[in-house]
Amino acid sequence: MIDVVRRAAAGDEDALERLLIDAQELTWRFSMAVCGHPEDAEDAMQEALVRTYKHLGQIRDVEAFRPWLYRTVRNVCLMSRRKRAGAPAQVVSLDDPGRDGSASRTAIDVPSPHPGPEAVTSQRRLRSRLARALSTLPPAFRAVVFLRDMEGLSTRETAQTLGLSEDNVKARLSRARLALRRELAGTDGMRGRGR
Amino acid sequence: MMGTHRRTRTTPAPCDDRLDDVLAWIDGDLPAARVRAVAAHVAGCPGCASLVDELRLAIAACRQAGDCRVPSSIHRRARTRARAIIRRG
Repeated sequence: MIDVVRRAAAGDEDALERLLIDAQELTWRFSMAVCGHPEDAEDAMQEALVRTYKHLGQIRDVEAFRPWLYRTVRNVCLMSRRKRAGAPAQVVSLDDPGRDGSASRTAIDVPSPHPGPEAVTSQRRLRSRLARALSTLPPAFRAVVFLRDMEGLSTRETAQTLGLSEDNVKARLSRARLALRRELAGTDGMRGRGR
Repeated sequence: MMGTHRRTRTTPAPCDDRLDDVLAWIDGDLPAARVRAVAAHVAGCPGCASLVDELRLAIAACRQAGDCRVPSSIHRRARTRARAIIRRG
């Protein structure tokens, strides 16, 4: 991403388009995986697009762009939810790991990059189970799983994005994985566990 | 030495007193001095071995989901908006 950011900041139009698309797609994935409200995702994508476009003219450190983008995506997704009329009772909180009453849904129903029929069926089944499993987690845990396990951010990057300590990220990730494992494995052997 | 097991009829339960170490081991966060002991415990404990397998499955499922592209309709709209904002300047 750094090379694309550098080229975009220098005025390369192809790189700029690539970066603006990436920012929106990241926003869509975050919105769907963490907040789970498709009706908010488009608003959030638009907002992320505008913020990214404006930010590109101010970039001094290209390596700082990725953390900036993840923080921005997190913020626009949460703001989208808060702005929506009639939604206050369902505001997604990423600060309260114990809260699970957000009534949000999680969708990871996206096409496979390897469309062989058996692979498609198998991946679709796994994604469906994962989406169900993720939807049982509080949004604060989903955000950590999304950034660490789905986006591949480091513990430090995840902590910086969410404004948490690294220990807190590790604790939430462990607890989330235990819950996901329980849901995916269909076992209740660990029910009630967690820190 | 095995840790304290929780018992279920369906699957062997992992050891409560080893859980934090096992989780840290999976993430590569375990201090080097404890890695060998935890790895040996997992190798000899069906409950913890099962936990490790299932956690790795969950992590792999998340990574696989993260690798997927967004739907083509979403991509097209993102591209259209990107081109529009670049055109407008």
